[in-house]
Amino acid sequence: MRGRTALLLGALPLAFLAVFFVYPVASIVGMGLDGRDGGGGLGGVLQTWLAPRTLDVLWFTLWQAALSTVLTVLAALPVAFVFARFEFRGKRLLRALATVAFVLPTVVVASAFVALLGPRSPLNDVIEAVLGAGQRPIALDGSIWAILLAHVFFDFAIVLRLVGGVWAQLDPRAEEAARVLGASGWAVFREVTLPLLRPAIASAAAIVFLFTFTSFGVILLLGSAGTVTLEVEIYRATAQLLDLPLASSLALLQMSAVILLLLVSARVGERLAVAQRLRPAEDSARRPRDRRERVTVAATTGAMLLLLGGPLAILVERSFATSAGYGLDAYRALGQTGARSGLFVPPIEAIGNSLAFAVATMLLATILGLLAAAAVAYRRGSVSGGLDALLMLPLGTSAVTLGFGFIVALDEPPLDLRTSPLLIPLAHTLVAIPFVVRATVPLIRSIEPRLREAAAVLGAPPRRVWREVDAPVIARAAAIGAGFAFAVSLGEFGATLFIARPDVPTVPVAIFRLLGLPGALTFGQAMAMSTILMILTAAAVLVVERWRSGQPQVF
Amino acid sequence: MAAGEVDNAALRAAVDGDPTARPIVICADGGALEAESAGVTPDLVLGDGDSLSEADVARLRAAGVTVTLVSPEKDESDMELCVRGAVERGADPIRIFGALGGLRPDHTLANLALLALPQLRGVDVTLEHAGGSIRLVDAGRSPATAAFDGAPGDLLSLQPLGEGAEGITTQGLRYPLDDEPLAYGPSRGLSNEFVEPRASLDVGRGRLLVTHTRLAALGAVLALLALVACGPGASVPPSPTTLPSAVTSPSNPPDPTELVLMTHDSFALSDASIAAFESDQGVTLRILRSGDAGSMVNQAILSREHPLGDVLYGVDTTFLSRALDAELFTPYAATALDQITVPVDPRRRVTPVDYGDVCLNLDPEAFRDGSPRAPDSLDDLTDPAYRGMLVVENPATSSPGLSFLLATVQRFGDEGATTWRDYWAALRDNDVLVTDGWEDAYYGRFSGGSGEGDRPIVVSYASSPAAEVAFAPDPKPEKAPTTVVEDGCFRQVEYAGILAGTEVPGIAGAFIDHLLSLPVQSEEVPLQMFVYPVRGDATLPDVISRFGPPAAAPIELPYQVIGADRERWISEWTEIVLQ
Repeated sequence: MRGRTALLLGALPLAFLAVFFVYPVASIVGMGLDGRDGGGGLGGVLQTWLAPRTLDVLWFTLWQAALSTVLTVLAALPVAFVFARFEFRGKRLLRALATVAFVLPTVVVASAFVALLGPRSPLNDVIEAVLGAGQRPIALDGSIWAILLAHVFFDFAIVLRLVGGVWAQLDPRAEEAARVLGASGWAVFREVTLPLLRPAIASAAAIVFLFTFTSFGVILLLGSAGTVTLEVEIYRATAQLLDLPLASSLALLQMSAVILLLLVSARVGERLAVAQRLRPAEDSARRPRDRRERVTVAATTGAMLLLLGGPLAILVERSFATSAGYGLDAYRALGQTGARSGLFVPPIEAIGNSLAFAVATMLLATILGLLAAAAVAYRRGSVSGGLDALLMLPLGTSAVTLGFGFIVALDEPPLDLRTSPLLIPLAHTLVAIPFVVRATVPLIRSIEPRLREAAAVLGAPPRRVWREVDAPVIARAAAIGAGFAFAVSLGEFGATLFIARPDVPTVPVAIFRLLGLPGALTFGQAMAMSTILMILTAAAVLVVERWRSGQPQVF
Repeated sequence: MAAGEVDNAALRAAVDGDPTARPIVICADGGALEAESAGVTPDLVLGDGDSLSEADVARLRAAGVTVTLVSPEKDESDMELCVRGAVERGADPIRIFGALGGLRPDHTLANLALLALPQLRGVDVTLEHAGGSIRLVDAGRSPATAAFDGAPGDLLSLQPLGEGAEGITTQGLRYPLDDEPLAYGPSRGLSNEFVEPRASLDVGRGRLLVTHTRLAALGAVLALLALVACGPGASVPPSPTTLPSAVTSPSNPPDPTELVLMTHDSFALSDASIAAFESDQGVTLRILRSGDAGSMVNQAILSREHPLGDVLYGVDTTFLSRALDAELFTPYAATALDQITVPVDPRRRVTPVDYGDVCLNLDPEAFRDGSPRAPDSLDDLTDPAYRGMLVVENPATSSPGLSFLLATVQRFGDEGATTWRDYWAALRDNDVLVTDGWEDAYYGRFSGGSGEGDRPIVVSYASSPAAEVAFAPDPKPEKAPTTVVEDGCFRQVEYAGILAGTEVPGIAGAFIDHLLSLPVQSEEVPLQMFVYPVRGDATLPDVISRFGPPAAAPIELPYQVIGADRERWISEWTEIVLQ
């Protein structure tokens, strides 16, 4: 499983990436570089990079992404711990809740955040009631805090799932041994658990960083007009100004920063990887035993409920709000046809389209992602690091660059997919592959080579070794990745926003369309659609989890 | 090139098809402009010049075009001058584009008669039409035999000129003639059909006009293609009578076709309206959404070589110049052109479909007690009484935001002692809030209607109060929850155009006609998209005329002016307001 095998495994995902990512992006960036007047080429690029405006934007992009990442990891780690070590009622539902938050369209979440953090916030009503009239301190909308909180809200699930997945399978006996030897709880975490988790944390943090580094919707909707990320600048240069030279220079800057980060993170991840024996999650979690443990569980999950459940609850509440109390008006309006049929997308049709795309994305991303993960995990060194970075790059590339790249590159048969509905799952797959890879690589790397050697010594042929030792771990990891791929596709709107896309309305598209017109009913319908999307996501996640726990778990 | 309909793609193929031998392009008068817009540079322009401005002549001459102007009081049509000019230069073969259609059927008839010009004896001349070509086969000339290369299913119509033709013998046609006559008057020779790839005929006596229409073009010729206006106002409704028999002929069912509409995310048409168009044209309409209007235009420009769609809808005043500069469109004169009440493109590259007014919307609740009173002009907004009340969209990322900026540019001026810059500096000092998009401004920050914020003045649309009523839960309110400030509204016109390079220009044109049809203008445009119809004879639905009528005295700016300074204004605005 070295060298050539790894390359063979990686060939298919590499080809996919080459055709649907590298080629389109290179085409549009190349077009921009050619089109520069005078100076041309790299000189012009450097000039853009060093312009004060660019440096300002880059600086803001970097620090808000770094801060968002740190906050997300800090917020999600305690929850990941509780999820990994304790068995309690509603755990699956809570995990689904995090995924629901991850999947919701930005425009919907932003409206919930404005309601929750703006001057009309119900929190202000509470504070006013306690402190007296005029005491309405919360007006976070338009501030950096709103952006950071929204990033934590969206990306919580990434850390929870990627770190929690590994944590749940850590052998608790190492920790127990340290405990017995007299180490405090904190010391056990610092000296035993953390070192084992570091690869997963690094992996999750890298994804969160990429997501927030290329943040677009949150910045536009929750930031003030002065807060601009590179992604927003690239969007303006491409979609508004059609200044391709500027857009290309900025896109190159964004990708260079991302590649640098990824190479470092790949190196770190590899150095941190520790071969260990993983155990089925069911073996390592138990019911909380004493009061302290129960309080820990309750406090942690309570905090998570507040952070993620609050905005979601507001959306659900809105979907039922009517002029006279609560009712199903908005849902009923969703089912109406007739005069408003252009705006109106039958919910069933939108759900059907969303599910079809999600299944296609899940299959494609899981297969390609697993092959790629194997290639990355079985091989070390710069090739592996480079492959890993390349696979992650789509997450760190601006959606508008990719979307416009599709248009200029995929314009001739047999690749003229520009007007084909296939383009949507293909774009989703680009975004989903990194999740599959990230969920799988740490687990594959953690397979102890001695286990394989032992199996080989005991006479198992290579195929059997793979089936008995590697496959069960990979199956488990694949389930996590598949769940993510499904969720990514279900909620994805950003990456496809800039593809000239065939009119196949998905649930997020229907929501977006409803929010385009003023009116209490359209707003209510958008909220109702969002609630449907939440339920759909939660159901899908629960099904995937069930399927996953039904996998053979031989270690 | 002459007056009438031109298939731009065929014209370009004829001019550029053989790189080793580029033909001489002679254009009659103002058609030179249309040749340019089709991407063809004329070599010679002949005519009386009544369709060319002095600037046009100067530009053409600067580009190396020979422009020869003659007195308007002459015996020959501009077209005849061109044909004679071609013969004098020894041209053979001669292909004539744009000789048919146009506002003047007399020109069409005269152009057909020109085929019989004595000077053309022995010269291979064809009149090109959108679906094929017309030739004269004259027994008095040699050769009186003609062969036509086509495909089985193509149509060949034989129509005698003058007293009729005799001794006609055909090969390769479904309804063969064997030494038979055709009289002038009866339409017997119409719509014969190729059964082999090649058809030929002889004429014993008389003259025969032979029209060859290619099967592939049959769907397209139902509607008007491109118009090349060579002469004043030569743009016209299509002639729907072309070859109806061919299309209904059961032996030639037209290939199932598809029309791809490239549009922005706000486009909406009811299913019933789409279905009506589809069954009318026998096509499937595919809708391709390409982000907001700016993003859509840029995508269309980047994909110009391999167009993503056949027809584009939704480019508005603020981005029109970019689309026109990129030569995205094939000219088309819509049937309802004379009903349109807003200015139309003289070269017909785009057709206005609807317009919207970007206006300040108010939350009347905030001004109920009269202090302050509801603002009624742009100037009011800088008054400290309205401090912290206004929310606008960023013109760099939002279409209504850009419109509002343009309104202030037009109102307060770009040059002089005080300009729009001073106005915006005053707004900034009066605590204006800027969001990046309309959704955030309206739903998030505005306090009126379905808004959730605390600012009572927002930049939205004149139709927003009507939408608030239309999309209110039942029972619908008697009074709109928001109001519109009449002053400072900016009018955006939205256009549709046929994307150059499409293979179905006829159906694309039919779609534009569909957008301009009365049902769409009166119902779909106002109620699906909440914009106003451009047709003067369209009626506004009650909910729109009562709660959200168009602005009475909107501010307008020509698209050329916007195109020239848009980026500069946006960056100056950004510096003043955001930095």
